[in-house]
Amino acid sequence: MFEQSARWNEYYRELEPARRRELLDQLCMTEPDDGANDYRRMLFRARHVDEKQPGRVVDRFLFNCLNFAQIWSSAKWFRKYARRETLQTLDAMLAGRAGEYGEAGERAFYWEIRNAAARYLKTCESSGYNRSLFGMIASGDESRAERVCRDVWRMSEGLAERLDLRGQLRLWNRAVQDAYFMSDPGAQRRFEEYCEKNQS
Amino acid sequence: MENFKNLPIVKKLGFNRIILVLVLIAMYFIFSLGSGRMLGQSDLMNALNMVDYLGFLALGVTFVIATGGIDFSIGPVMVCSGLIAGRLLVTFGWPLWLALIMCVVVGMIFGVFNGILVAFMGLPSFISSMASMMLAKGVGSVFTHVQNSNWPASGAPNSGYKYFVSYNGIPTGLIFLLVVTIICSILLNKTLIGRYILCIGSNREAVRLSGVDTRKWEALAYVICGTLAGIAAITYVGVITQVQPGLGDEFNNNAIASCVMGGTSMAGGVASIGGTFIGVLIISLLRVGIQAMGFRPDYQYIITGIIVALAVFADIRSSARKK
Repeated sequence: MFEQSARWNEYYRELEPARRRELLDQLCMTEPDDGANDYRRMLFRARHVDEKQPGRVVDRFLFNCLNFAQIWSSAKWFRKYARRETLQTLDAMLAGRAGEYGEAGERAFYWEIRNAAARYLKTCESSGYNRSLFGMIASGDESRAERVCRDVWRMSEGLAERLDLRGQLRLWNRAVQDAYFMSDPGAQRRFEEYCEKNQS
Repeated sequence: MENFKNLPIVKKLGFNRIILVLVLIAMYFIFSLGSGRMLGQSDLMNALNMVDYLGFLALGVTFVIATGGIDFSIGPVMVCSGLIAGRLLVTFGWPLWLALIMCVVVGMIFGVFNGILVAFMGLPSFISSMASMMLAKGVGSVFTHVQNSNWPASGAPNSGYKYFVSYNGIPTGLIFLLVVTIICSILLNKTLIGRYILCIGSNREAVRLSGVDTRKWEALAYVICGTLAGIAAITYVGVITQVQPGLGDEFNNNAIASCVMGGTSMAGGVASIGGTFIGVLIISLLRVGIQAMGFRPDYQYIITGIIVALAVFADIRSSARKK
């Protein structure tokens, strides 16, 4: 269902917003339209364009990876509020509009999220990630891998379970988890073990 | 134990928080048994006096720890605010309301200073807050010519500031602290400001690439911390009246211990305002309990030191388990 041409794969592998814009413009002109090109442009705008400051590059979907993990943490109390916030965030990411473009729309949404998740996972390789003791101590590889797994679980499976939003987060979860599984050979096993440990 | 942890109510309230409340209750009975009498109203009021200012300090430092940083200057900043405002009130004849505002302003200025050093100049928070700790002690001493700052005693003119701690036996300080605790909890958990602060602590690089000005929000955490240290100064002088220059270090340890004990992670990204509040109650009861059991107050340092070490150990263990 999520397979696509090699040229579009190239677009979804690219993590730099400026290069992605170039590729998007090119591919919309040269590749045959599967009916979701408008939606792809809308997703790009929703993710990277700041209407108030047009020159500024943002990545709202990347932020939402973090945001969802934080909503999971704060959703012990006022669950309705957290649920509403999550649904509003999904709306802002145009998740609800994917269906309007059929299978091609769902595919476009899935790959856009997967790209954002891949960018998130790339940031986890930075030296500032997972430092302990007030930022003084850098973590080892194993500890970092475990922390990434926890974050991915919280922003996908954990959030869907805690807020009972499995349906609404179906594509999001699949995209985030697939991006994670592709990032590291041991990721899928680690994630499944983590899921088992955290089953309610 | 696993079954208990999986109970819905335990999951909702948080296992660690329940343990903290149980520890608090147990401490009350242990200290009562140890001192040969039930801790009474005067002991608890004594504990509450410390809760007031320590609470504001701990709430403030929770924001900074949530970003993955630390502020070791909060105690000296609180004392410095009390010294400067006290001298302005008593020696220079400033009106009380202006002196109290000055308390908060001095704290806020130190918060801005720390924020600039850490967020904009990229200094490690550990080092920069040490620097501002020395600075706060120095400024307080220089401004008062190394003299105590004596705030007006109860009943004297301009003694209205004491109402921030107690009014006709009502613990107004605790009420004030509870209100600020609720505000801080909403700010941290339910607003964009809090979300940014927590996200910076969780993964700064991702927040930066999202287009968020991480420097601004990180600096804001230090400003909030400094401002709360200034507010703490109002309740501190309300309890102590006579402020001595050069003090304040010991409050840092107590405030940080309260935070970490309450479930705020030293790695950043995870913070619990409610937990910090319970941590403050534990530390304050500890001090009163040790005195009630007949130990000298200096034993409190030993026990607080052990508690800090245990809290740090528990934090590291618990994050290892969570992973």
